[in-house]
Amino acid sequence: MKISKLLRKPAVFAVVVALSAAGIHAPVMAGTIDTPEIAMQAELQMQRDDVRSIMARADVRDTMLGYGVSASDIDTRINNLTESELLQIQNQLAQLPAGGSAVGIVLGIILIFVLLDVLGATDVFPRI
Amino acid sequence: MIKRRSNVCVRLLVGLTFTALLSACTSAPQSAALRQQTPPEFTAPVLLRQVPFYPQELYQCGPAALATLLGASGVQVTPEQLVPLVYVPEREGSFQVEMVATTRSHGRLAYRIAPTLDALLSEVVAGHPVLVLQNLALDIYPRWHFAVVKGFDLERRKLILNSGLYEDYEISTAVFERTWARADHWGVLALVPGSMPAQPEAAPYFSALAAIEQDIAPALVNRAYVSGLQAWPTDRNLLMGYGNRLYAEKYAAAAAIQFGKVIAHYPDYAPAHNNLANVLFEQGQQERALLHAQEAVRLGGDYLENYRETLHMIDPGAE
Repeated sequence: MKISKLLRKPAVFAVVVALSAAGIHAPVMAGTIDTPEIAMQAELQMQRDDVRSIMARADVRDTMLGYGVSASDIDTRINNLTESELLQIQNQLAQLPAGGSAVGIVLGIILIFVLLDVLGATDVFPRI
Repeated sequence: MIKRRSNVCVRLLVGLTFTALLSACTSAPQSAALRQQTPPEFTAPVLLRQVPFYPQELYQCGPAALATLLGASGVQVTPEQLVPLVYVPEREGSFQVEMVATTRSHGRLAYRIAPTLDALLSEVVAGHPVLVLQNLALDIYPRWHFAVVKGFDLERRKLILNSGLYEDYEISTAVFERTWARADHWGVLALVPGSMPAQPEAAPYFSALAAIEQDIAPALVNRAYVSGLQAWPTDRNLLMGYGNRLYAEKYAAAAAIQFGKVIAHYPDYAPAHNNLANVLFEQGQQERALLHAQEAVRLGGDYLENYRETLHMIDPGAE
């Protein structure tokens, strides 16, 4: 769709007009940055940090629920984690190792691991 | 079509085997070094008999290994009780971060040891079993597994683990090293607050302590700080953390002395000036408080806005 055609749509036209009007009235900033400005920036940063940890908390919580952790345990488990742990594992859980055990290996690969176990490279079958 | 696919399979298998053979023949440098020259403290075999054994249920080496570790440190807990805290059903395993968090929630510092066999063996000699993560298979086909190292016999080149279904499982030091290296040499102790690792390092000790502060009784936290400061009397984080403890427990005078110590060692550390200013202000020492608040603002840094607030509280007219 061409831009001229787009502009004919009332909604788009309205937005464009509103944006240009806003542009005209935007104050021109120059020179020093005053203290209230810095204070606002710092406070926004603090709020962002709070938001980040809330998001991390929510993200880890959702992922863990998706992994079958029961709803009755999830709060305890999330609360056991520190802020920095939550931030570290946010969006990482899919890649993190989950220590379980070696059972459930595809049949075709078993032979290779038997061999590798004998060679001492792996320890998939502990009694070999 | 089937033929081509099986060709691909064969090539994959050959490649996999070849890679693994290469890695089998190399890469156990620490055990090789230990074999060539065994340090005197490791010549005698060690087996920690107080370590309990819980055979793991399917996939649940995490809860079993953690119950083993906690049990040895004096916390009686069964794997079944730990399943709701560390087991992740869809992943058929447990995450390291929750193993650590659950160690803390049972009142034990989760101290990450240095990534060396030397550190691992030193802890076992000192009576500390070590929770380890291993990748029993290969980087390209990982099989993650938690176990507890509880002994060794270097003359026979063996480590002794409670692992999976096996109590006193003997594994060659070289094989262990390879499986452990694939899991980034991850090893954790469960320390009673106030006790120290055999090979203590300040950074992991402080991070273990800071993480458990909210979970255990204040007296235990203080004990752990005192032990840490005995080992590292000038560690900035421990000095500062202990000051914050004293302040939180309303020992204002002691806290002021403690923050003063931090400043004596680290005069450019703004947070210490800021906290000292707060304590002094509360104690009515306006002038000294003002000096430190000004110094914190002058030094600036990450928490500048907090320093400014402190300064304004003490001297509302300050710019």
